[in-house]
Amino acid sequence: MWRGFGGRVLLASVATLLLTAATPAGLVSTRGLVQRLGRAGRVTVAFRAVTRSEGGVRARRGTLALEPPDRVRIDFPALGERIALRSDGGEWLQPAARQMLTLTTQHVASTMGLWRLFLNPEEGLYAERRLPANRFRLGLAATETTLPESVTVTLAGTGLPSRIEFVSPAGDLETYEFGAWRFGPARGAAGFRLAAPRGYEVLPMP
Amino acid sequence: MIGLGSSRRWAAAGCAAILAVLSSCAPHRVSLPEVSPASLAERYRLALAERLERGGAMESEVVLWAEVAGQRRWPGIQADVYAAAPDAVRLKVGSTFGTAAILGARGDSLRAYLPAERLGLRLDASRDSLPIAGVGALAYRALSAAWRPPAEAWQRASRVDSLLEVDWMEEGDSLALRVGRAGLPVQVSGVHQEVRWRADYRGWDRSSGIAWPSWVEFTQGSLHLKCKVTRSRWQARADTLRLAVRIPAGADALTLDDLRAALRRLGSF
Repeated sequence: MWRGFGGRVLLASVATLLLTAATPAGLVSTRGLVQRLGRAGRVTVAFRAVTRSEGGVRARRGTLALEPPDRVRIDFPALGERIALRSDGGEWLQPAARQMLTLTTQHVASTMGLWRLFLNPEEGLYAERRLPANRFRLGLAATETTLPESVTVTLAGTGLPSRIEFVSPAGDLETYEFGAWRFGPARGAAGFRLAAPRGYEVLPMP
Repeated sequence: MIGLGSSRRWAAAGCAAILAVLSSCAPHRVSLPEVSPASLAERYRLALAERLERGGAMESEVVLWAEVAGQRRWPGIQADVYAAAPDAVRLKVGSTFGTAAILGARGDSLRAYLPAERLGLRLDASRDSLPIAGVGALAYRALSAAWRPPAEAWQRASRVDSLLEVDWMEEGDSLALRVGRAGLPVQVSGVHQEVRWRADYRGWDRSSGIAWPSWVEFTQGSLHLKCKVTRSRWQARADTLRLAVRIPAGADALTLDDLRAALRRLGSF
């Protein structure tokens, strides 16, 4: 019994080492987060998202949770809005419309957005250039229209992103300012699956 | 010491008091005095003036539900709207990550851009021979309830149940406005180039100190559009930059035929 359990642990450890060794070095700007996330299994962070468009600035506070390889959750507590994404689909809870939209795998692929940088660094979406003051300019290397062409990542003294900035395909300047990244063990897919409160309509995302 | 008989009397008195209180709380049928057409017209003009004094531009968060008769139900759309007097409205539709679409109506033209698809659409009423002349003004007036019947129209006003109905002609269009007791629009209908439309005002938000439309429903043919308006803010002067719908040079152009095909698929026309 012990040998069986111990054998599986050993096998898993070796597999992990092999996988880690097989993972490319990736981007310097995301390496710290990717490595610590890979070791811990889960990270959460509070953020302030600011959108600057013609004549207007809009700020929203939220929390982001990531679990490799494919789980993203974003909560906006003030609005009650939540987004959960997994490789098999997702949900978008919209209290203002009293509805929950269900997302297909195709929707998820296009809405994962930048978070793929932290979850799947081996995708090679961006090429990196170092700028002064712990900043990095990422230029889109993949031929995807849903991603911004250029992203600026600023690292804090911890080596973790403190800010990302990009111009969205709509032409708005989007800034995410991150608080302290908190690592912990993965909680599993259940935490990335939303249920509609009573009275909400559940509709497929067109 | 209170005896049994006394207790009963106290209980009976208590019940009577409770009944009296309950009956006083029960809804009474109160018939409100009828407001004269002249007073209603005056209330309408005052409320309209308050709305117009708010400024030349307004930004709000809206949720839109579009329903097409006989078609499946579509989800609500969350959007930021920026509307400027007299005839411009810009709608920015949100997505899970960024912006799904930007739509603008200004005067007789419509523009739309879908960033994820890099797809743009430009329509003009006269160039494309479309019945969308005045679409910008219609959208602005519907959102701000800025309907201005001329003075002589009020003199012809007639009663429709408890509402006052005013009708008038404006640049070849026929318009009819129904006003409720509070002097606020209840319904506006119009005919533009034989196309009939109607806007129903289902809710008003008074949190800003004046009554502003918070729930507007628009009907044209088999299309029914519900619009919930929240978090409205006003500006004295419109910022024209915020009304622009920029379509990048490299964007693909959606043709009128593409749009017609899409509308046919929706079954709205």
